[in-house]
Amino acid sequence: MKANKKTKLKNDKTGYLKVVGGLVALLLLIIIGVLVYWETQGSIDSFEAITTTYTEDSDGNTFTQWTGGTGSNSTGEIIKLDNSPDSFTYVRAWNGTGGGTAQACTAGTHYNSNGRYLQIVAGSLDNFTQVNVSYTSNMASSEDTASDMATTVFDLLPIIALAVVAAVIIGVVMGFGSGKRL
Amino acid sequence: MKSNLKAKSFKTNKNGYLKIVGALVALLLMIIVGILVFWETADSIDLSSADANASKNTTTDMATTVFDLLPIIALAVVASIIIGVIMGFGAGKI
Repeated sequence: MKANKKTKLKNDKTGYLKVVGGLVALLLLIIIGVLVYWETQGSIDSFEAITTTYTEDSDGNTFTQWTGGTGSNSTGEIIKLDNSPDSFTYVRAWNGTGGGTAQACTAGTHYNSNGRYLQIVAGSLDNFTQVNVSYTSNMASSEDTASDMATTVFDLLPIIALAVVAAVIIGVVMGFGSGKRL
Repeated sequence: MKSNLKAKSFKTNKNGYLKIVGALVALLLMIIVGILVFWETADSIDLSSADANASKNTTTDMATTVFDLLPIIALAVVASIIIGVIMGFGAGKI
């Protein structure tokens, strides 16, 4: 693709002005593109890390404290998250809503995740009525990768302008020997 | 799929580069909107059996890989433009 063939500046007295104008337009469009992309990306809350407090299981039943006897905590609790998690920042069980003591939870020991469902292992935690979960969703993780690549693309786009300027300079320098330019 | 054949028309189009930049931004935006739609849909589907859930997880894992690779299209387009401009250095018609 010899995209610069069409420029033919030697036959156009205002050719360089047009090239400069085109380059400025290109660079302006790039920063407008960057603006539009990041404003759109930033406006979607689903791409943020999610921290949610749960006081009831996936069936809508409030957690019942377990003090060693038979209770909902002893049979395990299943929590339905808003999105499927990619990774957990933390899972904490509290023994009282709005206060009390937090019990840090470890994956495999205190909880297991399956898709959107988080299962608290039966009998592994005492007396909790509230579970706080902070996680990065699969959606946010995928978007993060796409945005990383978008950043690279936006970094490379101005190199087009650089290459065009280099082509013009080389064209002028090549004309030195022909005696028909400048 | 010779999708880049159409790009040759840019050599006769004064606003070709500007259109490509607009198309790239649109592509990147469409990718993140696609991610949003896919995961919202996938997460809203509850399957009853373990086998069905296993199949669903395999599909979503592959979808994650696809979403990781999609932005590379934009990268390849930018690289092809830069290479196209550099190849033009030898044309001697500037």
